[in-house]
Amino acid sequence: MAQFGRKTTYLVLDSTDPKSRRFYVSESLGSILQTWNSTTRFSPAHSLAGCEVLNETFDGTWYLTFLGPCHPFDFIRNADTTQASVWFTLGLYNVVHATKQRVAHDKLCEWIRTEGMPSEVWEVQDGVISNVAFLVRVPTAIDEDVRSMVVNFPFEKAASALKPCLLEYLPLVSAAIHKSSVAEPRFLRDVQQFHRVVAMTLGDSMNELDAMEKLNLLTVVNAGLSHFCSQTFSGTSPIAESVCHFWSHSLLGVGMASLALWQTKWFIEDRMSQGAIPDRLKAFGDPQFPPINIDMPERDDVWKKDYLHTVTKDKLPKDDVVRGVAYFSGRDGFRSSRCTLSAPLASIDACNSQKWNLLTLTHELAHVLTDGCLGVLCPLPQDNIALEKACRLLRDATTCSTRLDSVQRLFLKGVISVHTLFNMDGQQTGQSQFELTPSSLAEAIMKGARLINEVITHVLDFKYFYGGASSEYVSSIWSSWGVLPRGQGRVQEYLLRTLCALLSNHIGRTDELGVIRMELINELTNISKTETENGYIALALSQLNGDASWEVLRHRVVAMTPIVLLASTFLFSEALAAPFSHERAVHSQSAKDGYILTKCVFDRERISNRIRFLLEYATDSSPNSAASMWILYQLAFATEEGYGHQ
Amino acid sequence: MDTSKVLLSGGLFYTPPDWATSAHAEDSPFRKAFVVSRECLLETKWHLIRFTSETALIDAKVEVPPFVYLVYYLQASRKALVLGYGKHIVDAFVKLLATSNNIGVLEAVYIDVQGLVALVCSKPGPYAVTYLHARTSGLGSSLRSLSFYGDDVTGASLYRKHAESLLVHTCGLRDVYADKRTSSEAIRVSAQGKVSFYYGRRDELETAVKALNFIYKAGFLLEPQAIGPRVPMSDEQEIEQEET
Repeated sequence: MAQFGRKTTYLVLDSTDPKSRRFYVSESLGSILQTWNSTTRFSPAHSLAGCEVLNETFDGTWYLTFLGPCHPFDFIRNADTTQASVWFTLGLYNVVHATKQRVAHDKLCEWIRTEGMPSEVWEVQDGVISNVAFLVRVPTAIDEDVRSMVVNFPFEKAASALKPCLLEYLPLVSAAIHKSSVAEPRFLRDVQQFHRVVAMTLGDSMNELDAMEKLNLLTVVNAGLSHFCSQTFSGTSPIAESVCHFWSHSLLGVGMASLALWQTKWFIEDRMSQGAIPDRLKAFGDPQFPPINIDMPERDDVWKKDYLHTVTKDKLPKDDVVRGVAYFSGRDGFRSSRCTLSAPLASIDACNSQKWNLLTLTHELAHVLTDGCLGVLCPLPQDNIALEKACRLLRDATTCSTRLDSVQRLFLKGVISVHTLFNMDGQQTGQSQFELTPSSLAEAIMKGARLINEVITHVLDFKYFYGGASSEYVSSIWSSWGVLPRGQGRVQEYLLRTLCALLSNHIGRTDELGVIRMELINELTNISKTETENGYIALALSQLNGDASWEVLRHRVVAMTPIVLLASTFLFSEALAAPFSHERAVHSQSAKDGYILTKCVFDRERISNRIRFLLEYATDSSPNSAASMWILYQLAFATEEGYGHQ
Repeated sequence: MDTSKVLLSGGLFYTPPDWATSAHAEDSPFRKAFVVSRECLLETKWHLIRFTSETALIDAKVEVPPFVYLVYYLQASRKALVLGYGKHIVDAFVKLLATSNNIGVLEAVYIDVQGLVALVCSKPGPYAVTYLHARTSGLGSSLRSLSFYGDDVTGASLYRKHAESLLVHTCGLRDVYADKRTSSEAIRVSAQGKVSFYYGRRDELETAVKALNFIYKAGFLLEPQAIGPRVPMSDEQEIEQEET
């Protein structure tokens, strides 16, 4: 068993003259800042528990080995730690072993060579690095088509507006591809696919007319790739020659945190890809799926069937989910775009806390799912033919000839319901007649699109990723909203979204609106006991408890009910949801949903379900760097098989 | 598990009509030698009754006489809810109560758990099923019984898909309006009239009675030797805490 020490210390590298580099360990940030010079870099670390070394100047002759990614349990099983100091970091070189004993050092190097693990060795004399040696991984082969696409990109002929961004993009993506192939091949697949998608979107970039749109794409892409490369690959060999832009981890980078982020992303994307929900929805357009009467009351069995599962997988196209580049960003926070996904920088050191854990990724990726489904259901506001067909579906249910027509009709009913019962400026207009024409329908779609998208996303997030568990869902999303700078100004919308998600569990229940009101009041009251930093929970509770404010909310939930029915019946499938909550490493007599892990302790166990794990363990009320690092390690070393090596 | 709560278990029994009388009546069923004391739980109609048993009911190796035990007793119309810290304590008390009042045996109120669960599934209302244990039907010895646990068992497609193959004889209910953290299950009942719930706060007694009233009003408490379709009871016969 390996355990992190609770105290944070810092690994520091600096130079007092250009020819010599000094390395030391100090627990005092103040003293590091006092001696800071233009070359100083540092990274936080945690010692092995039981032999914590918080300060070390490496007097005499020392052998330092930076290695990784290496699971702490595997490390202590194979390395002599009795005559060494060991620290764990968040860089891809996540283990630092320091010893004065040559024998212990050589034994470690022999194991590292056997494992083919990347590493860097420093001989240190009285704190000064005297010799450096590397053991780098044999690079994984890069796909020839990707290499060719980068090398042969028609940069010289590109539109003038795009050239500066292309001049940044091409070397940046080359760096990402090559560094992935050497340091961590698991990234390589996605980075290559990322480039294929970007290259296809850019085309030859010669056309000046769509240059601005491509410029927007490149701006986002370059920011994402730049963050990803710096955060992940800084601190790999040669360590002294790279600097991470995230200055509190400037020496060794945050490659382990990146790996944890990508592992979580892969887990979600793989399941979304297996589910192929937008493709199944599209398949409802096949005549073998007859139309459904969507005007039945909520208690009818029509709302209880699993329709998506009736589409067999072999009939679906082989399209994969677009896999973007993930990175941490202080500015972007949690955000998804077509080919990028970001998480807040604060999550790196606070991943154990409910406010900053990585669970919000599920919401961001659920948006990708929602966008795919709305792409099938929602007529484009500028497509008159599709709008006319939509109007026919709405006027007369008998014009539905397939299941897809019925589902689309339900969606359109929801659009009109939202538009008529309250206008998008937030004023309640009351029931009014909606004059159905293609242009009025287009207007209703445009005005309601954002909110409808959010409600569907919340329902899908709630059902697929949280398994319909209301306590976990409400505490997770309301904790994360608390850190948003504009959170307090959007309380009413957050209430609406949450109520709609909860409603999906109670469709057809007597007094369903009273039940979800009470459920949300109970959950927010519990949160308010620990959330004391700002008043948004109290504001939310006052809106739920007040009769007049509840009446407004209730009206809006009623307006959204067709959308909730759509998401919970036709976009959600219990059968397809099973892989989202499946976990290999479950045990009996566990108080943690089958897990028997202890925080900051590593044994041979590996998790497989990153989301389920976060739901159980990333629930602390305040951040803790050791606990956060432990969670990131568990995510980074997760395997599909679960368990550990025998 | 909340270790501040204890499991109260026992059952629902039919009692003679004249038992629903004042506690101080000369012919009170509790004015018997084996009853050590009887007190009312403040602001409720529950009685806490201490009684003696001739034998140890918990652990004969440890207990020494006198063997005194506590039961919770609620009388409403012709039914009594008797609960203790162990069903065998309740069984012993009920046997003593019956024989000392010369009525042979107090008959258990049977509950149509199968119908109750089917109702909650088809017309979800103020209660959700948190637990059910069922024997299977049509699956032979391959799969004889199974249990489901959750926040809303009958809301799951796995249950609905196989409902017809299940013979549910025990189920747990939770109040959907209650806070799940403090009140995850209001009551658990069986077809033989067994009742149990975790008790830590006074209001949990009321919550359990409220759930039983729901079962009663829906007509799933079976009259002795009841045959034919169930008939929902009228409000006057509700299991209330008011004496009739």
